[in-house]
Amino acid sequence: MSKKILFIEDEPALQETLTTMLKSGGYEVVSALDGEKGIEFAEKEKPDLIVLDLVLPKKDGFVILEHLKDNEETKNIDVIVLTNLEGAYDIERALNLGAMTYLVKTNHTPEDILKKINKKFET
Amino acid sequence: MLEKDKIFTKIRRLILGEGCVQYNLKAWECPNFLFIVMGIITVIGIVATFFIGQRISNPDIFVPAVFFVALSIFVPGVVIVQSFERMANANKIKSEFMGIVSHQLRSPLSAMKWVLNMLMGGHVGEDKKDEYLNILEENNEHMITLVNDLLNVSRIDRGELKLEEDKIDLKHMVEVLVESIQPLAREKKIELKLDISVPKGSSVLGDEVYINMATTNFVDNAIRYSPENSTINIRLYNKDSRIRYEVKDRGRGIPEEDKKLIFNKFFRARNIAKKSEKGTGLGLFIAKAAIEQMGGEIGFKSKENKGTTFWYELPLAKKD
Repeated sequence: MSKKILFIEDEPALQETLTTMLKSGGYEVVSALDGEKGIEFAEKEKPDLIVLDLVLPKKDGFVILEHLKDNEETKNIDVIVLTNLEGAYDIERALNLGAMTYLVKTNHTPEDILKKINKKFET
Repeated sequence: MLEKDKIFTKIRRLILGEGCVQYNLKAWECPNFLFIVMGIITVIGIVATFFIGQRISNPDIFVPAVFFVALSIFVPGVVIVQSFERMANANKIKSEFMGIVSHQLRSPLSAMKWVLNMLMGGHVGEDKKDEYLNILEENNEHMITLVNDLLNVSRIDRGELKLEEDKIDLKHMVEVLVESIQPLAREKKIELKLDISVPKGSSVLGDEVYINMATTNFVDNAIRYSPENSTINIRLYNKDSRIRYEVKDRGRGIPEEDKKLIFNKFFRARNIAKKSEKGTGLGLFIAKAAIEQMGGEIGFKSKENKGTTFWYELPLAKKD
């Protein structure tokens, strides 16, 4: 059975591109365009992995991370933060809140991200 | 910019220092200026002590005189330390601003990078290629707007915003704008009510690009902050020797504590970035600087939960 990835990202262009890439890699993708939907889908869909933007409408990525890690049902889901925030404080905060990896969007292409996700599931 | 304004800016830069002009600080917040003041006070103190000492044989006068000299050095010294603190704060704000701006610039850049990666890697089917090219074009345009906004802010900070002086038919400009922005309003089920009462042929004197920018910015913001199924009133009318343009929405209004900051570039940029909205949030800051440089006025009135009216007035151009 294919792995399920929840992608929480409010920018439609980025949603479209990475979702297409992940699907081509054989993953099932659930998309959430704001923070509230992100939490809702994480709890309902129980994905194997969450790819999370930080600057989001309704609820930001830090609030989502905190919520997911405080919740018994979602605390073991791995979260890759994928954002354009690059401040040391943001990186430290996200990792302290339990993010598995922190990636900056402009430094990675959808191909790179797919490779990283493949590698994660191989191990 | 006029010749005398250029000279004034140069003198200001010489007295206050480049940093202070750049951050738009008040004179008393600038170390350069305070050093000059401190120097003058110290010289006056020394000269006064010398003359008083010569005229009065009573040595007791030296105690208050020395006290005066010490005070004249000590007080500006304290103020200088404070001003350095303010400069440090200004630098902190500047770097925060740079952080916000670089995040806003990264958004279209990452979209472009990802789309190019998909197209060049052959991950996009023929049926979707046009959609991807449109994303590319849209983000490229967005990027250009962001960079232009930033360049304008930098020009404004240096007092070097160059404006054309042409006769502008505001009536025509507003009509074209309303026509082009209707689809966006319709998407949110917002009605744009246009009320133009300026006599035919009347025009204002100013720079078309910046007037258009301010005119569009008001309507864009009104649509962004209006609830669905509401009305936005756009008015254009003569007021004394000026033309007044008003855009009234029925949105949430501006909170009392934010009112003072609405034309502040840092405040707007920070808010826009937090809310994950597109743009730099610098439009109102640029609009204010440009409208005022054209001899006009800009402002707003707002009541929470009732709505906001943004307005500007520009001087009427003389008829040929």
